Amino acid sequence: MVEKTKLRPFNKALPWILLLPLVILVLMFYILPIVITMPLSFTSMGLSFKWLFVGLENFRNIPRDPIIPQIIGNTFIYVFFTLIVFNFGMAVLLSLLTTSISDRWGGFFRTLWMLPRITPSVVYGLLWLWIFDPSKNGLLNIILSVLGMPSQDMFHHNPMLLIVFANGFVGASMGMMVFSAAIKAIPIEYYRAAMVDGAGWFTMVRKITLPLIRWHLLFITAYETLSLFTSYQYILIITNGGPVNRTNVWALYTYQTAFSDFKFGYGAALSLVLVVVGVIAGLLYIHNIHVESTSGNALEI
Amino acid sequence: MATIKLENLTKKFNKVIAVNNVSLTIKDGEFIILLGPSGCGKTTTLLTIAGIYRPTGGAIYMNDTIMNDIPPRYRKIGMVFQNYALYPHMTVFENIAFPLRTVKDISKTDIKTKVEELADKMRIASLLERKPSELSGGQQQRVAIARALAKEPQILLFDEPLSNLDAKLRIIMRGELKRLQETLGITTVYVTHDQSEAMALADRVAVFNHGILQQIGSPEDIYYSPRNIFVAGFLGSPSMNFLSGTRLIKNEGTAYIEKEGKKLVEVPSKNLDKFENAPSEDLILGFRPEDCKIVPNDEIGIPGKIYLLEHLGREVVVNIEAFGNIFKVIADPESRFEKEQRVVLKLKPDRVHLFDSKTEAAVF
Amino acid sequence: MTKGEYYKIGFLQRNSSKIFNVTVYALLIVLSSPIVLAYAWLFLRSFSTGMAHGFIPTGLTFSNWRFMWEQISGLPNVWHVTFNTFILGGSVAGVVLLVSSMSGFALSRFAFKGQGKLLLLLLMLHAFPTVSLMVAIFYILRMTHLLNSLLGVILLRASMDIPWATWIIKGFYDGIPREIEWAGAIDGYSRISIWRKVLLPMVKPGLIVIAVFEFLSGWSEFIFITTFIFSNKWWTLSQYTYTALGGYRFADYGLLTAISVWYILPVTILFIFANKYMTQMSLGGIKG
Repeated sequence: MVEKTKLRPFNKALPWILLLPLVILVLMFYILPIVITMPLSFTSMGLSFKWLFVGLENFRNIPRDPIIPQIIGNTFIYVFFTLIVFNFGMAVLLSLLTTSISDRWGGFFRTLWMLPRITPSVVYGLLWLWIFDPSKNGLLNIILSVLGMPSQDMFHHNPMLLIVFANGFVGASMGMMVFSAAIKAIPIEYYRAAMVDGAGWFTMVRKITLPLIRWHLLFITAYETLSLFTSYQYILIITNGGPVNRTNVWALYTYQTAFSDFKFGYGAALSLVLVVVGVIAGLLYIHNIHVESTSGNALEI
Repeated sequence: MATIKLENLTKKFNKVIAVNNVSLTIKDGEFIILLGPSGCGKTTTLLTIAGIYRPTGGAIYMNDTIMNDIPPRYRKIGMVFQNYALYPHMTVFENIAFPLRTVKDISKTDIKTKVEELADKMRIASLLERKPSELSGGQQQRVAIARALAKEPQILLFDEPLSNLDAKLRIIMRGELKRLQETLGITTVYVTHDQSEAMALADRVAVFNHGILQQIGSPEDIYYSPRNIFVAGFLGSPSMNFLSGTRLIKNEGTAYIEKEGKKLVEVPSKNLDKFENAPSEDLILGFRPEDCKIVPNDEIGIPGKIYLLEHLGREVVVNIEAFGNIFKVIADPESRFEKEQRVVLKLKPDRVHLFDSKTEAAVF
Repeated sequence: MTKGEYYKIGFLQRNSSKIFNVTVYALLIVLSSPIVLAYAWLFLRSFSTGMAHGFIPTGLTFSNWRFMWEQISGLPNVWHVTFNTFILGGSVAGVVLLVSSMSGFALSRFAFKGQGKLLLLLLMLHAFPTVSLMVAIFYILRMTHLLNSLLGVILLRASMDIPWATWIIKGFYDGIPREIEWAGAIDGYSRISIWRKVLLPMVKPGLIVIAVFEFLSGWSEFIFITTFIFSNKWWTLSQYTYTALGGYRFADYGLLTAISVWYILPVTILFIFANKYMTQMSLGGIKG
């Protein structure tokens, strides 16, 4: 027989032993960076990596920074229009359309829309460079010439439109998947009852579908707002904020400050805004989600 | 083989007490059934015996060795679960061989021989290459039993093994289980909420409620001499009839039970000495549906009228309304009764039970 | 209702549903057309000498694929870069699988103090904008000598995805009945052996999903590579393509599309063979 002393301590420690790698990685790449960002934002750290504390200097510089008003404006336009038109609007439209036809074809179109999301970002960027290519080789200009209209140079005339489109075609799929799953979970009886009452497609969408998935709509709106506010990958690839900062947004500007201009202290101060937004959003997020412990009757050996 | 002793066994989950101070001794080779409604602590007791849970208080002994902190794998037990818990990614052969693979120095041929022998015994030899998902419920059950027997355990544990089977198969498997246990002579602890299963299988039945062991004894003991209202009501179908607010009137060597001035039944003289310290007011009278007769009229008895007749073929259950209660009485299907008919219930004096309404304990 | 009226209503209904269906399909096709056209162009262009009217291939050529056997100015050897990309994708998948299968097991199958809080923390981290931490992460990587190293990027990418992966795999563990684990304990196994021999095989579908997604996640990683890798010895295809994009944008679509097609080969394979799988699993999967 085995002595009990050998078994007891191991049992208590075992879950934490299993969690150790997770805990280390979370500490190293989430908790520690969050903690470091704060003191870092009070320094003028540059490529020398010296902790030179400058007090509130960085925060005083933010309102004085001449590009900041433009950045804020761009960020608002970028987040607002991408969200409304694509991440929310297109997502709702696609989920309604793809759930109105056979599962097979609905699934096909949804898969198609997933393609941008799983495509490496640099390749995806190339596709939009071509679509909006200012010469007559670009897709947009091919279509315009077929319609007998003059070529457009979006990169100079309306670069933000290009950014909204490029981000939107990736962003729509998240909401589309969530809404489609929610719509498919609505009991068919509701629609049967509505059909008996003579309701058409639009009435059913307005009176049944949308009210029943309102929590999903709210969740995606909140989630995508945060996500768009902090994302800059596609902008970096397609225009890198140009021409002359016309597509630059807060997150990208933060990145450039740190990694193009190597002003780490100022970059940290700019990113602190994002950190605070992220933490608040995270707290709101978990406040509204109920997590059930599933290990109530775990083995006690 | 093995004896099991539970000594003041207590198991808490956070603040909830699932098993409360249970003491009981299981003899070698005995078939014992833990019986009770869901959430009564019977399964928790079984899992604590198995070593899945650790006792919060008290002790578990097997063959007089304390087992509290010994993991299941050292306890020499086999167990069959309600959902069979077969490993879905393994074949039937692999499922049965799985426990054997922990045995030191066992050769592949030995495992094969052993598995085939068990499969023969459980009559599943033709299914060895199948996956559990390709088996019927009854077949899965047999595989689960074969697996439990693989390591020749000293103790067999069953957790509601028959409740996922359909009614007909349940009766067949019940018989096979009983026979198997008798042949092997393995100490067996078996959990069920089905009182007829308990009556049919057990050497002794332990009735649980609210985590407390209510009574333990042979099926006859439990049935004929329930120790409290819960045990009395839980066993038997239809269950025992109860009439509250009765009084005991003692009178010079005789006694009778009455309610609202009506004499219900005489108490046999052999039970008289049990009243020395018992209350005589506010008692609950209990009698089983089969322990009374319906007569048109009598001085002593419960007067009532027929409320409903349930014909069950072999018998008829007569529902009688009296004192604002409905009593169920089993009668001969030949007898002619009619709804609304006024009758008197004549109880068998030596089969009557009396309970204290405060403690719910049996007076006799 | 007369027979005639009945027929009329039936006809109208049938027709209106037909019109409705056609409208839905037409809308979906129009909305999805940029995606279809763009990917079609990508493949066609990579094998064409040029495109008439921007879209019609003029002739078959493999010269766009010359980066596979020739040195392209400004770009390192593509085979070496592809090898690095494989290492990154494979290692990210490996690290995430290892860590999430362990922590998912602990979170699903043990009761311990702080468990609920840890689950909430993971949920929060999943939604947390990592990009806001780039400056501090740069500093930490520098301190731990993980800058300009694939290992640094592997750990970083894996860490970003582990909260999601842990939740997914925990869900799979949660779906296994308790009794299976109990049976394993009674059959003579320790908790670790039960995990290895019984639970892991049972959550295999979840592990496969995570492996596929994490391979792609590492394979596609761009920001961390471009920020934390300086030497082209450690480049992956993302930095390679990005650099090519910088040098040849609008100029040599042939080369760019060929490199891109080479780069998205695994994505294409996944798309063709596992697309049903993919749409199901992406739910709540990758960050939007």
